[in-house]
Order: sequence, then structure tokens, then C-alpha cells
Amino acid sequence: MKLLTKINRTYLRYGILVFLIADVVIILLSNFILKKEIDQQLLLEAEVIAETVKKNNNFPNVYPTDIVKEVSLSEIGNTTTKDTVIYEDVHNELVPYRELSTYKSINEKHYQIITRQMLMEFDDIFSLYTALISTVLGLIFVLVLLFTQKMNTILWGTFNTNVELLKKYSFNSNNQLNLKNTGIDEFDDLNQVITKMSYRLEKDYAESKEFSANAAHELQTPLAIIRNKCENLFSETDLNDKTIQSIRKIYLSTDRLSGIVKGLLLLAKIDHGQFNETEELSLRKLFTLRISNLDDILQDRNLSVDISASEDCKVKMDKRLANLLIQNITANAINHSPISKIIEVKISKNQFSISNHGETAIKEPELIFKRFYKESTNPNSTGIGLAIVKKIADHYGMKIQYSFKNFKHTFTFIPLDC
Amino acid sequence: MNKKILLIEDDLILQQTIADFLNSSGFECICASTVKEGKQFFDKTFYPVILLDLSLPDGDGLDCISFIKSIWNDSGVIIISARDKLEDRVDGLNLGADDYLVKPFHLSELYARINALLRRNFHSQASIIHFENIEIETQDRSVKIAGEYVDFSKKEYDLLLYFIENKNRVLTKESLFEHVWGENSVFMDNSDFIYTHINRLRKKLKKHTGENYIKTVHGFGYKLEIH
Repeated sequence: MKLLTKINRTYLRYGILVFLIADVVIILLSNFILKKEIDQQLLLEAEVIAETVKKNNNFPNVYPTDIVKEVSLSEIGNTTTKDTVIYEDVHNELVPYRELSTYKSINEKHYQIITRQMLMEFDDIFSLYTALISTVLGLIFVLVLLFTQKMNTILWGTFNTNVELLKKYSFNSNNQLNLKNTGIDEFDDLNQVITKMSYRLEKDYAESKEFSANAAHELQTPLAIIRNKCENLFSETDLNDKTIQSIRKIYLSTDRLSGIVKGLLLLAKIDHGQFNETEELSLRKLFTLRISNLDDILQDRNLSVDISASEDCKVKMDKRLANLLIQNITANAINHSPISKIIEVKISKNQFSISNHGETAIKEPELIFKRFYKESTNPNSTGIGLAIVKKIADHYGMKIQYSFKNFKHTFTFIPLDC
Repeated sequence: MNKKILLIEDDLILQQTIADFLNSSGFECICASTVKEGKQFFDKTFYPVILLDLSLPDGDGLDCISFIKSIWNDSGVIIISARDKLEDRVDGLNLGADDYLVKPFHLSELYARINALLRRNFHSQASIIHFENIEIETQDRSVKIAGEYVDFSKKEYDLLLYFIENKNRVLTKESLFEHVWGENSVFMDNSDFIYTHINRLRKKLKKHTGENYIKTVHGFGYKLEIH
């Protein structure tokens, strides 16, 4: 949830609570004050009536507001006030009244004077105040909303710019992280911490990359020695079968190890951005060239490659990476295709795909692009070819889809800029 | 002809292995393990072939190339490096290196590259290669058997030349595959494939010479030799 939304929601929730309490309190309080005021007025009126009675010995009663009754001495009581309702003929309803009853002795006669004043109905008061309070609170809410929005653009503006910068930031691009100064201490502290952290991470990342590159290089020399020593052994004539088998296995493992190391190094180099000479390439041409280079191998396995290009797919890539991608996906298709089958390459304007026959679908299609994941038990497979394919595809934002239909594995590639 | 080869390589075991191999193949191999040491050698003496490692303790081998070429225009430089060809090959060749071999390489491949380099740089010498009654004219890539021209496909010719240059030496399937098809054997399953091609070449040679020169060395690969 956005901070602003959070603030507004909290404000609304507590606002409603405050509103309810305020409503009740204000209604009760104003009721109380109002009645006190009315009582004073009624008392004043009663006194005026008493004066009239004193002068005239008589008072014309006005029902129901001003009534004077002569009473006996024993009936005289205290002055009381109360709420009452009186039936009104005109509207055929009960109307609330405030009533004051007082006793006066005038000219040796005793009178009860009752004065009444009509009250507003409680419903009316409630709705009036509720309307008033909600209008005021609503106004405040709208103002706060506008205010926070304004504050948001002022306070969070640079912060948001920095967040965008962080989103775009990557170790691979050579741009350093340059966060903008916000002028707000808390944010600037955060910026500093992030900047320091990114420096440290960048350094670690560069070092670990350098380490893997160095390690990969350094491994090749000992591998060269093992390979060459094995080759020397091949020329020995008095070896028994067991020794021959062992040497052969050492030799083949060296080859594989060297292949894996080269693959890892390649992955690191792509990360490093060492292949960034972009040019526009025709995939049809690249595929055709690649397949023609593999003629002998295809013939030997009685495989044929069918390239169909409804329209050429042009991609902007480093030529070496494009070739590597094609080399690896064709090698993968050839290595996994049963003999005497057709490998299909389909190229259209915005995608290309390669399919080879197979018995069953790949069990874990998401994993086959992972380093060292293998589904076949073929000892020659290094488990790195498709990782290279994936890395190159990712490098150019290319999507890869796998499907298995009619006993055919199909990898479809959808380049970004097509 | 001058058969001296200067090897500049800092790993002493690899240096020894290569030197032993070259010495036993009829070359005279002189070893250096640093740029400085190498300079002392090629400063005074002409070497038709210099094998140069790139990552040396006192500098990058690449810097040596222009230096060597400025003194000895005819010296051929073959870079032997663990660095992958994808980026460095271009650099190396631009700076005047003649060839580039990525570690780990096959010794037989190194030998073939040295020979090819010598043939290129010194046309007059050894452009015709003999084995028994087979004669290979490397300049126009033609093959004569018992004085008559025989047609070989490009791959067959490459295989035959590789075999004859490495005669009496066991060649593995992997080395043959990499040499002729230029593919890394790890990325391509190849065992039957090589067999088919060797068999074809073997039959062709047998048909024209009456001899089976290419032998299968059980478990290892193939070898070209006279009985």
C-alpha cells in the first residue's frame, strides 16, 4: 500500500470514530445548554405573568404556553422544570414542550403559573448537528487529502526519483549509483547507506567475477598438462586393457572439465558485458551457415534439417553471441534427436524455433536452462550448453518457450525488438 | 633448415611436456618462462617459430608480438593461451600473431599448426610432404599416389594431412574431430561419426596403395604407420 493511501485510510477510519463521538457529545452538550437557556426564559415569563396578575388580578390563559391556576395553600410546591409532550389537534401529533411550573402568592391568593415553550424534535436536532459536523469533517478531510498530496510531491519527489534510479541500477551496467540529494536528513541517511552498500557489493561482485575468470584460466594449464601426458601414454605399446580404459577415461574427463570451465568462463564474460558489439543479423543466414557446417555430422546420423523462413527474423545482437546461441541450440537438437529424423527450424518475422523428435516431454522444463541440470545420462553432456543459451537470451531480453507436441521438443525464441 | 622453436610459457610442467614432445618430433625447443627471459633469446637469435603464452608473470605476452615482429619479420608467432579465442584471438591476430591455440590443446594439433605455419612462412621448404608412395602438394592441396593424382574431398584431405604429419603417433577421435571439423568435441557427440570418416579414408588409401596404413589403436584412437 502506498504511504499516502495508508495515511488517508487511517485518517478516514479514525475520522469516523472522532466524528461519532463528537456528534454525541455536541448533541448532548447543546441540548443541556439550550434547556438551561429555555428554563431561564420560562422563569422570566412566569415572573412577567405574575406581575400581570398582580396588576389586573386576572390573567387570560394562553393554552398551552401560559397558564395561571388558582390553588389552595396546601398545594403550593417548589418551582420545577420538566420535559413533556402535549397533544396538538392541528397536526394530530404529540409535540415536545419544556414546562416550568412555579407557585406565587399574590394579593393573598395562591397561584400556580405554568409556562411552556415548544422544543425542536430530537430527530431534527440530531440530523441538523450530524449534517453540520459531517460537512465540517468532510471539508477537513478533503483539505488534508489535498495537503498530503501536495506534500507528497514536495517531500517524496526526489525520494521517488531515487527509487527509480535504484530500480534501474544493476551491477552489470557500468553506471555507478548516483542518488540525488533530497535535503531531508532521514532520506539522505538512507541514500548514504544504500550508496555505501552498493559500492561494497559492486566491489565484491567484481572481485568474485575476476576470481572465477582467473580460476577458469588457471585451470586450463593443468588440464593441458593432463591431456598432453595422456597423449604421450597413448603411444606406449605395452599397456593392458585396464590401463587403456583408465587413461581413456582420464582423457575424456579432462575434455569435459575443460568444456565446463570454458562454458562457465563464457557465462561470466557475457555478464561482464564483453560481447557488446551490436549489429543487425539475419537469423536465416546464420542458421543456414551453421547447418551447412554440420553437413557431415548430419549425414552421418541420417538427420536432415529443414529450415523454413516465411520471413527473415532480424535481430540486433553481438555476432559472436548470436552464433553461440545458434551453435548451442542446434547442437542440443542434434545430440538429442533420434537418428533418421528431421530437425525443424522455423523462422518468422518476430520469432524463431527449433524442434527435434523425442519420446517424452522434458520433466522439468524450467530447470533445463540451469547450469549443470541434466535430464539425459549422456556422459558427454556438460549441462552448460543450454545455460549459455539462456544467458544470451536474457542478455537481449529474448523470451524462450518450451513445448512438447506430437513427439517433438520445440524451443521457441521471441526476440525483444522484433 | 633451422628447426629451432622458442617456447615462452611460465608453467614449468607444461613447458617440459611441450619441449619433450617437440624435441622428439625433430625440432630443437628452447624454453623461457618470462617475457624478459624470452626477449633475451629472440633478441639475438632468429626462431622460425615462437610459441607464446599470454599470461606471463612479468607481463602480457601480447605485448611481445610487435616487438618480435619488429626484429624478425619472418618469425612466426603462435599464441598458446588459456584465454578464449572469442575475444583474444582477434587481438592476438591483429597484433601480428600467426595463429592462436587455446589451452588445453592436443600436441598433435600443435604440431600440425607449427608445420602449417612453417609451410606458409617458408614456401620453398617442405611444401611437398611424402609418406611412402603418397605425395601431398600442400600449396594446391592435391594428392598423388604412386605418381597419379587422386581426388580427395576437403575433409579427407585434412584428415590425411593430419595423419601424415603425425605419423606413428596415436590420434584420438577427439583430436581428429577438433582438427578437421573445428568443433569442440564436448559439445558434440562424435564417436561413430569419426569412425565412418576414418573408414572411408582408410578404404580409399587401401584401394590406391594396397596398404592399410591407418590402424585402430584399441581404446585410444587411430595411428598412421607402416607395418
